[in-house]
Amino acid sequence: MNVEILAVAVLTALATSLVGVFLVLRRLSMLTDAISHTILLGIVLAFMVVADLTSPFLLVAATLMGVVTVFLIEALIQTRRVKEDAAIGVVFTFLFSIAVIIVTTQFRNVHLDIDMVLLGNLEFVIFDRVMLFDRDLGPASLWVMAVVLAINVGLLSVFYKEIKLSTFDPALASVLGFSAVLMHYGLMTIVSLTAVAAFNAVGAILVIALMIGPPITALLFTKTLFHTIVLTLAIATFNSVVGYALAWGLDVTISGTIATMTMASFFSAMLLSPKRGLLFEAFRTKKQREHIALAGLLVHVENHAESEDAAIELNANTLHEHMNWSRAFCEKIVQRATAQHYIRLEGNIIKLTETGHAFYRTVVSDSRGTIR
Amino acid sequence: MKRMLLITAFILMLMSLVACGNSERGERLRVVATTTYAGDLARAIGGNAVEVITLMGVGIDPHDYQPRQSDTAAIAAADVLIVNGLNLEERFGQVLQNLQGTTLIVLADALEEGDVIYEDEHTPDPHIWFDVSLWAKAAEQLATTFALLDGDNAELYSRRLEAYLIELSWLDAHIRGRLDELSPERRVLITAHDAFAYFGRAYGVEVHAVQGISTSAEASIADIEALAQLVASLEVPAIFVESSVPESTIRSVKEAAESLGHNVVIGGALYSDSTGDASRATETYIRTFRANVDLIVNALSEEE
Amino acid sequence: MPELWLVTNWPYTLRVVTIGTMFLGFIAGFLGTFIVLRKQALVGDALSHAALPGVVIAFMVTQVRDLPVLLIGATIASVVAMVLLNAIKRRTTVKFDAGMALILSGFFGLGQVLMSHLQKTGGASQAGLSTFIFGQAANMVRADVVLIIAVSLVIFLVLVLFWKELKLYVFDEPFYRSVGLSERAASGLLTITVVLVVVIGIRTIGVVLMSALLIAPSVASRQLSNRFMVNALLAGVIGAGAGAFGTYLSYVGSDRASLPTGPVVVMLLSGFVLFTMFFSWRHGIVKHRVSVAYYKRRIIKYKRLIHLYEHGPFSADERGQYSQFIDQRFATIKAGQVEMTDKGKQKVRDIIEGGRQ
Repeated sequence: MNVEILAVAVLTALATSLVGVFLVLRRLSMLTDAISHTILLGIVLAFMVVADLTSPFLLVAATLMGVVTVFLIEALIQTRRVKEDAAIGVVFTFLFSIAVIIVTTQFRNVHLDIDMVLLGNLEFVIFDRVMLFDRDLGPASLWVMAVVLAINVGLLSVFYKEIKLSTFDPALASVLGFSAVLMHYGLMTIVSLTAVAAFNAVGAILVIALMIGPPITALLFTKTLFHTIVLTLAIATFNSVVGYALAWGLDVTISGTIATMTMASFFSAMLLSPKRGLLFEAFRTKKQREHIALAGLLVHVENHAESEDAAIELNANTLHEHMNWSRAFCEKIVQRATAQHYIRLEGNIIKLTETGHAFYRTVVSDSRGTIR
Repeated sequence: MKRMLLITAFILMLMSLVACGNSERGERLRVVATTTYAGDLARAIGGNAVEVITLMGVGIDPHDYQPRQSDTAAIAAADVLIVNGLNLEERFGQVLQNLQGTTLIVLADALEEGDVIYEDEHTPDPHIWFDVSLWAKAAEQLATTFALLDGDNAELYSRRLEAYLIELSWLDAHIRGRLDELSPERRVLITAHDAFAYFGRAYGVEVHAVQGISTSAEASIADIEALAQLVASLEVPAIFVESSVPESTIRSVKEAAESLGHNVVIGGALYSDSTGDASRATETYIRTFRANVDLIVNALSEEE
Repeated sequence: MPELWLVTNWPYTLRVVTIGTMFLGFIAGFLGTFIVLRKQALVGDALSHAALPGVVIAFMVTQVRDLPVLLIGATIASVVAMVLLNAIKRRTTVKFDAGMALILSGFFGLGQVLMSHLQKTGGASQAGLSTFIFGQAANMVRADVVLIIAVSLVIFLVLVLFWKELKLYVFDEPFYRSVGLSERAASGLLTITVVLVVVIGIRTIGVVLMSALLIAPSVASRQLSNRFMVNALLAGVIGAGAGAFGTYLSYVGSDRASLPTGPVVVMLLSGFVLFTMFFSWRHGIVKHRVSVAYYKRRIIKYKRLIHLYEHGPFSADERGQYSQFIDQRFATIKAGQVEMTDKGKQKVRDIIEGGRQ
């Protein structure tokens, strides 16, 4: 394993998923996808000026175009005439189309596209190094993502309250004297800067995965914003480490594997989460069924205990026929009832114990309560 | 004590194994090439003296390329890195140029003033391999660099270069011979993408494409109609696609030409950014180029 | 160029592409009304990414790179993606857009993994695999147009046939279920139609134009009408109109440099969206601003009168301040006091309730 690649992957995961939490909460999850398209316009416009495919200005312009994109989207949303997702759709198709028209009419034979400017491969980040006075300071992306992460953490901790309030209650935020709209613009600017920096390090698709996957996975478990953020960062780290290890073992693309891993961990969480997880739900349904069956059994025993047909109705060997259960299920319920000392066997006949009586009374009064 | 000895012996054995592996590998120049064409050239010149790994395998163009961990390792361990240059490798080509401790060979650097086709002053066309004379220059430069790096095998490289240059001259003769079968007005190559400018210039073929080099550009109705009119007026019998795009890309030109009363067939798929593979007997540069030319000439010489 | 106002003078490609974008524009706009309402606006872009693993697996299984085979793979992957998306929506509180981003990146990532694996051994026929299924509007051929017309007509008829049910499903899902209708049927029907339209769309006109045609027409028609039926039909008409007119514009505009068809249609659509947002006679921003300003002015003008209405009557000593309203018969002087007339009361009520003259 290459530690430098892993470090870039983890730093990128932390920096992107941190701001991703707010994208998810503001229903702008597809924003990153939009930016991944519109940066082409920035690249094209910059190329019109510098006319050099290797110029660093192309990257600068791509970054700026990310900011322009979020501003246009934010402005459309603020008119309240378009929902978030539709605003994203209108803006990204518009900006991207301008880019394609310029390329087609002006630069038909220029090798002008996003891959020309953004590396987007974790496999190659270690070859793009920072050199200072002939000293190797490590991969450029490592530095870039570390700085981005530091900025994100710094801004978020300074403005935590404001950002939180403007995300959840923009009206109250305005009342308290700071502009929620301004906060939105600021936050979205940070998001777009983070996104473009991360595109260069790990590629657009993984950035989308990292920004959205860990936050929505965390939100399956958590209620407060702070817990969500902490869990998000943990999940993001887990995904990128495990994803990288898998990619290394299978010798396949790292970014793709981490993205797949991100999706897989969400679905695992969806199946397993204690609150609403599918497995737990199935388990709970089964438990409930057994509980109801147990109550039904006690009621049955109580009703027939004093009657003449008690010997027939309460015979442990034929009970399942009277209860209309399968034999196996019936035995299981009888076992459970015996284990909890609700019933005891006298020969083959089932009798209620004292505990059983007490439980029967609570069951009956409960059901009366619900009926009433 | 016995155990200690055993362990020491075991460690020594391991070390000798590792050393063995190293020295065995160390004798051969470790070469990493980006494209299949560059890789093939390195094999042709280096023979058994070099160990060639091609990053973008058969059928892969820079847009499809998904690097893997083994690629990272190969680049890091390489003695020589061969890239095509002229922006073909996009951003990762630029990154690889700063590699420390590895000799970088840019094939396009072998070309002289006037060899490279520029669309305008800033934008070179990278598809240099479709002109055999330019490819020969790249071969010479490669052999020189190999000899400099690996003096022990210098003679081998120069011998192999000579042999390869002869093969290239045969290829060149074959191409010219086949194209001579076409009357001059039939020498029109119409494709989906603009990858054959060098081919056109070198062998006197008029080349037109639906789309330029840029993958971000989009086709326009006016272009397709213009191309269809050209096809109809020159009575071009066949048009082509590159193997990396579906045939339907060029079918619009075919239909538009038919609406103008000229029937044109789709001649087949040409190899462009990558060589073919062994299953089609097109795994080398020479075989790929021959296959392309045979396809073009056969389709264009069809009588209507 | 020959007289292009006569369709019969149009060159072949222009005719083919115009008909294609027109029909696709109609069905995409129509269907887009459902999609945008369900906050799935970016489904076109999401599915275009989610299709990748389907394409790669189809190639790996069949070892042929036939367009129909790859499209079937893309369709299957898209359906799986939509099913998962619906499951996320049903089972968790995760919103559609977040689910979409997850599925988009996860599926595409999986596709990349498969591709990187394939690239070790794949051979020459894998060339261009990741872009093979994406087309461009100008490259449309007759067979594409025939397919577009057939599919869009069938989908239109099916949607109209189940109109009531679908409308109920989109607007009030709990009620829809409570009357005993199957949720699976509705979401299944919408899923299949969306996937069909998107797959055919990305094949024939490309991802970006497809996305725009699904979103922009319904956004524009929302500014013009609040009725769902009108909305959907209007969106269809806008989509068809923009498709046809944009195609035409891209051709006649190609005098100096050739204009790409898809992006020109997108520009036209975006322009129209902005125009309706600003100038719609219903909810337009301009109309809104004007009526707010008018309302404010009236309030300022009748401030005194409103004051009198709420706190009066006042002593006639203050008549000076009300002389204008007395002249207009909104107020009068009775028993030494300034008092509202019935006409004045009506006027103030009008002003307070806003709008009416």
